[in-house]
Order: sequence, then structure tokens, then C-alpha cells
Amino acid sequence: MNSIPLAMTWELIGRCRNAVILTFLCTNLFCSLLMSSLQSNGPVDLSDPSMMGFQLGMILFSIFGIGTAINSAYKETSRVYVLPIDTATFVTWRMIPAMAVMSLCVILNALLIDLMFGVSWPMLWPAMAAPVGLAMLQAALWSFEKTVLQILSVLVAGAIFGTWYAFRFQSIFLVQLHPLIFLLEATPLLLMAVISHRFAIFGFGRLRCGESVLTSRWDELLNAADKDIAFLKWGNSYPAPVFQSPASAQFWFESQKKEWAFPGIVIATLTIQILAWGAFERDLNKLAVHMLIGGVAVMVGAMLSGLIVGNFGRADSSVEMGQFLASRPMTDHDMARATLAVMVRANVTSWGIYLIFCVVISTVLFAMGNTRELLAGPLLQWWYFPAILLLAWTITGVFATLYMTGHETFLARIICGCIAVYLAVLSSALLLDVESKRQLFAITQMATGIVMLIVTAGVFCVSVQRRVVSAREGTIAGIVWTGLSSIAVLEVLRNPGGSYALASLLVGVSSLVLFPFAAAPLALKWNRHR
Amino acid sequence: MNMPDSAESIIEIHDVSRQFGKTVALDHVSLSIPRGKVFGLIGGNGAGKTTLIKHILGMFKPQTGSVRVFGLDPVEKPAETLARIGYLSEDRDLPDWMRVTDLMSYTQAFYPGWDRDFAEELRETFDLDRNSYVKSLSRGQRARAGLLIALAHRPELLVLDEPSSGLDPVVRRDILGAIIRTIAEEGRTVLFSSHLLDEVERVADEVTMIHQGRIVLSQTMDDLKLQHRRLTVRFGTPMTQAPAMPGMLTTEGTGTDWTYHCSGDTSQFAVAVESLGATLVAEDALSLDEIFVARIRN
Repeated sequence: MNSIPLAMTWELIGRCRNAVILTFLCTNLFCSLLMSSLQSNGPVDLSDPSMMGFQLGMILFSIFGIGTAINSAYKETSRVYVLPIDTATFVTWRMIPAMAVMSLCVILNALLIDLMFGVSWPMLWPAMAAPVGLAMLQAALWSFEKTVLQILSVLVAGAIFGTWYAFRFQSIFLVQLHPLIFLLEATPLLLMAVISHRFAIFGFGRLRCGESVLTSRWDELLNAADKDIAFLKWGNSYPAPVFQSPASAQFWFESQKKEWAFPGIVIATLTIQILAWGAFERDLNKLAVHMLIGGVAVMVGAMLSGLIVGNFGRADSSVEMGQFLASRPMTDHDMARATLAVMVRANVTSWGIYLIFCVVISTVLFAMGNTRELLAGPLLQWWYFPAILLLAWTITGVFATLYMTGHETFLARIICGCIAVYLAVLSSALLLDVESKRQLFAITQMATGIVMLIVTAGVFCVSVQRRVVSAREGTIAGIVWTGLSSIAVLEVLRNPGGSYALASLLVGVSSLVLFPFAAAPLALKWNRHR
Repeated sequence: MNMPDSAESIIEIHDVSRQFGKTVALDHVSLSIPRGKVFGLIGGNGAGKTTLIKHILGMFKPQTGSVRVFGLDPVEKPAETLARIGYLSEDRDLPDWMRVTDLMSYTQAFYPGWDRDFAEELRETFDLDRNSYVKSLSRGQRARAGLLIALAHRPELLVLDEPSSGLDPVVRRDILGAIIRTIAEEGRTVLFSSHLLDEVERVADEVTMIHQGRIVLSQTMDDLKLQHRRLTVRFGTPMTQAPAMPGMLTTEGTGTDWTYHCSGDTSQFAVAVESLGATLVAEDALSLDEIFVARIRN
């Protein structure tokens, strides 16, 4: 390798290859899942303007996912400060290959979705815009590295790009543009890329010689603010926490580190949702739909929170348990229990926030007399809010448990396995007629439910055998599962549209509610004693 | 190999092997660590020292063989074994988001024997601000914070993985050395790994040398010194290569004067020298550093 660009491209590919492939598959799976769920309700009108919003959301999601995968693979930039190349060359050849990877991923994503669902979404323009978004995010990340403004700068860059992208996307999606106008559309993109590049060079150059992008005056102000906040909170002396037992200490550890995630995500997504409604819709009838979307946001929050809660690694990029935690003198069972307790609290808090959100909006809707959508949806069914809580718990628990294992290869195999099974079912469905497709869907539901049940039962048996769960706890879990399954089955079969397939799936999901109690100690044991 | 009486052993490692992919990290290692001694584990980078320590702490499950610490399996009984161990990790893994005072309170909860006064004394000796965040500590301060929480509960067994790394010479020589000696004098055991051999030589009672996952030597420091000698021989005629001698590990020299680094009984060496018509002109003890190099080269 005798050139800097080649060496840096090789480094990028080597470092982020697996993460990018995995993220690409996951974003694609997510997109396909949404598309197939849309299509399961009948044929989708691809020219409908709402599809534009769907594609827009999917591309932004893809940019975020792939961008995170690329940047997390690079880790800190400080390790390259001593390379014998000037800052401009470094920044240029870190940005260009990453932008190319991003562009390629967006094109492949659009091609795959087109192949599976027959949509003819615009491809070239997103493939040009997405890398620019990445460049803006990279410029913000590198320029404010190790400063308190890093997150803020990324949010600002993301907001600028997202707003502009959403604004221009409408014209691109709805109108077949003349090539000359298309070229004009490319000009601001180029300008944004150049500005990002210059900004990144400026910021990175200052960091490289030990200067913060923030002036020393800014640093002083921020430090003073930090001290003032600390003084307001604790006065002159910070009170050290006092613990009565190892379990309470471990609960505090886990709670300080991870409990904020779920409620934080839920608050952020619900706030964005309401702000977006205020900015673009302002239609009271749509608020009931936003309450349902809020439920989906809780599920996404549950998933992300599971990844945070289940990570016992030293850093976010490593899932292997660090030596500090591994050398705590407590049993694997007690350690797992502390994490589960934090998960329970985070779930209940997040669910409470969502409940308050729904109560406030419902009150507004009742007060204004706009109750049509509210009464038509599932929001006022008795099971809706308990189901949201249980589902959120299940999602957090399953993802946290998977992450708790701390074995990256195992995680990759599980994710790839799920993707492969899903794609297999989906591609088979493409070849079938409507009735066969319905049957396949029912069989898949039943099979998923049975697999969930078998896996949970197996995990409980192993846990009891290895004495990480007592026989009494196992029996209680069995009783709870019977109760939950019975309620779910009765409710489904009581409903005219209910089916045995859905009932089977819910029996499996009911078992997953209890899965973390047995699986978490086992996963932790596997991670801790390698 | 001079193995101590297993009845007095605090750690018993029997035939432990560990492989990472195709790399053999530990190859049928057996070791017994006596109670109340300072035990030095030496070896080059990647020799298997940390892997062995992780087995002792239950972080690794032996692929073959068994590990017993205080007579217990550290994988099956982590709470019981780790409560009696103070551990300083090589990578100084500490939670960055905690303040020093949080770290002390949190750690205290796990150890009933936590000595508050001693912890405070150590904090002052190590010059650690109680309100500082761990992430703001320098590498040396981090090592001291790790040492503080490893020592403050007065553990029966202190395990230090490369304790000197990051410590300045004053702390390393005066404080660390003193702590290790004090603990040993109180009848407790210290196991520490290092590749700073002068430090090991200064404080260890027993030494185990590990190389490519295998134990190549395990002896008391006194025996080690006694059994490894530097012998300078003068031959009648210049030699291009030193002739082989009993117990020879390595040689260096040119012409008539050659220096042998040997192990074992030197009387046979003396007989061999005489039979070759050469003269033994000097004999003295090898430093641990020289023994290590000789053993590894051999």
C-alpha cells in the first residue's frame, strides 16, 4: 500500500465492514417489515404522498444507522494525531471513503426494497444527499470531540440536514425533474459538503495541536456552570451515597449508569412528535394517531434501552464485561437481579410518561369534542396500556439479555439468523397467491409462538438446573405465564377477527415476558466467566 | 521444580489450559501459591500472566484442569472467593462516571471488612481528591484509586496485575513496596505480575516464570539466586564458540574469556572446566533480570 488514500480506505473497510453490513441488513429488515405490514392490510398506493414520508423516514433512519456504524468503528481520533499527514489530507480521506460507503448502502437499500415490493422510489438524489448528511455529522463529531458541545453540535447538524432534506425531498419525489434542474439541486449539496469539509479541517486541526474548538473563555464558562450546578445540587460538599448491602450498591450502579435511557428516549420522541404535529399538521383528529405512534416510540425506546441496559462492557463499543464489574464479589444471580430491577423501574417510569401523555391528549380531545379517532382505535380498550407495558418490558428484556451475553459473534449470528428467516419467509410470500400468503402468515405466527415458548421453557430448565433460578421461582413463572396466556387467548378468541395463529403467537410472547428472569443470570454468567 | 506444600496453599491450579482460537495462552499449567507469601509472576508480553490471573479470579473458565482459590471454585462461587481478594487490574478498569468518593462507598458495600480509616489514609497518601471524577484522573492517579479499593478491605489475598504500570518511581518504590511487605507481614498473601524484574526481585518471596503459556520456572527467590550463577571461564586457547557445560543456559564472550549463565549445582560445572584445562576465574549470583533473559533465550 503506497498511498495515503488507499491506506485510509483500507482502514475504513477493515474497521467498519462488519458493523456496516449488519446495520445495513437491520435497517433493510426494519424497512421491509414496515412495508410488508403496510401491504398486509391491502395493496399500497405507491404514488400516495404518505409513501414519500415513509421513504424519507427510512432514508434518514438508514443515514443515522450506517453513519453510527462507520463512526463507532473509527473510535477516538486522537490515535491518528501523530500520523505524518496534514490535517486536510486526513480529513479528506476519512470523509470520502465513508461518504462512498454511505452512498452505496443507500443505493443497495433502495434496489432491494424495489426488488421486493416493486416500488420505484427515487434513488440517485438520496444517494447524493445521504453522504452529505454523513459529512455534516462527521464534521460536528470531530470538531467538538471531548467537549460538552459534541452532542449539541451533532443535533444541530442533524437538524439542519434533516430539515433541508425533508424540504427538498418533496419536489424530488413528486416531480420528475429535468436533468438541468437536478444539477441545480446538487449544487447546495456540494456546498454543504464543502462547508462540512472546511469546518472539519478547522476543528480537527485545532484538536490535533491540543486546542479545543471552544476558546478558553468558553471552557471557563462551561466549567463555572458545571460547578454552579454542582453547588446548587449539593452545596459545598458532595454527599457520598451510603449502601446497606452489595445488592443496593449494585442497583445504584446500574441505575446511575443505565436507568435514564428509556425514559429519556420516550420523553424525546414524544416531544418531537408533538412539535412536529404543531409545526406541520395542527389537526386535532390526528392526535389520536399520534398517541398510537407514541406507543410505537415506546417500543423503539424499549429496544434501544435494552441495548444500553444489557451492555456490561467497559465502553459502548465493547459488550464484554469489564474487569471491574467481573471482580465484584457477588453472585451472577444477584448481579442480574440488580439489572432486572433497574429495567423494571425504567419500564414503569417510561410507561408512566406515555400514560400521562395519552391522558393529557385524551383530555384535550374530549374537551374539544374530537373523539371520533380516539373511540375507533384500540386506545380505550382495557388491555391496551397493560399490553404496552408488558411488550415494552419483553422487548427491553430480550434485547438486554442478548447483549448481556457479551459475545459479539453470538449476537451477530442471532441477528443474521433472524434476518435470514425473515427474508426467506418474505421471499416465499412473494411467489404465493393471496390465500396461500395468508396461510403462510398464519403458520409463521404459530411457529414463532411455539419457538418462543420452547426457548423460554428450555432457558428456565437450564437455569433451574444450574441453580441460578430456584425451583420456586420457576413454578411462579409457570403460574404467571399460564395466567397471561389465558387472558391473551381468551381476548383474541373473543374478538371476531381473532385467530388461533395469533393466539399461539401471544402464548409465545407471554412466555417471553418471563424469559429475562431466567435468561439474564445465565447470560451474565456466560459473559462474566468466559 | 520446588513446589510448596499444598496443605498451606491459598491457590491451587491444576493442569489448566486455555486457547484463544489457535493461540495457546496457557498450556497445562499447574501451580500452587502458598499462604502468607509475596508471589511474583513474571513473563514477557503475551506470556499468559493476565490469563492465569483471570482464571484465579474466575473471569475465565478453565478449558481443562481446575482452579481452587481458598479451596473454592471461583467460577461457581464468585461471591465467596472475590470477597476475600483485592484486585488491581492491568487496564485499570474503573467506572469513569463515578467520583472517587462514590467509588469508595460503592466498593465498601461489597466488603464487610472495609476499613474506613485505612481507606481515608490511603486516599490522602495517594493524593486523591474525593470529589474528582474517575474520568478526570491521570493514569497514575487511576492506578492509585484502583490500589486503594483493592487494599482498603484488607484482603486475605491481594492480586495485582502489573501494579507498577502508570505509577511514578516514588510511589512504585516506596509506597507499593511498603504495602506489599506490610500485607505479607500480616500473614496475608500477595500475587503480583510484572515485567519490571528489579521490583519483583525486591519484594517477592517466590517467583514463577511463565513463557508462551508454560511455566518454565517456579522457585523461592533464595533458591533461584542460589541455583543461577554467572561463571567466567578462561580457556588456554581462543575459542570461536563456547564449549557446552553442565547446567549451561546461555554464554557470551570472545577469544579465551567466556561467561556462562548456569542453573543447578555448579560442582559438575567446575569438574568440566578442569577437564578442559580451563580456569574458573569468577563466580557470582545472577540478577532476576539476567535469569529471565537466560531462561527465555535457552
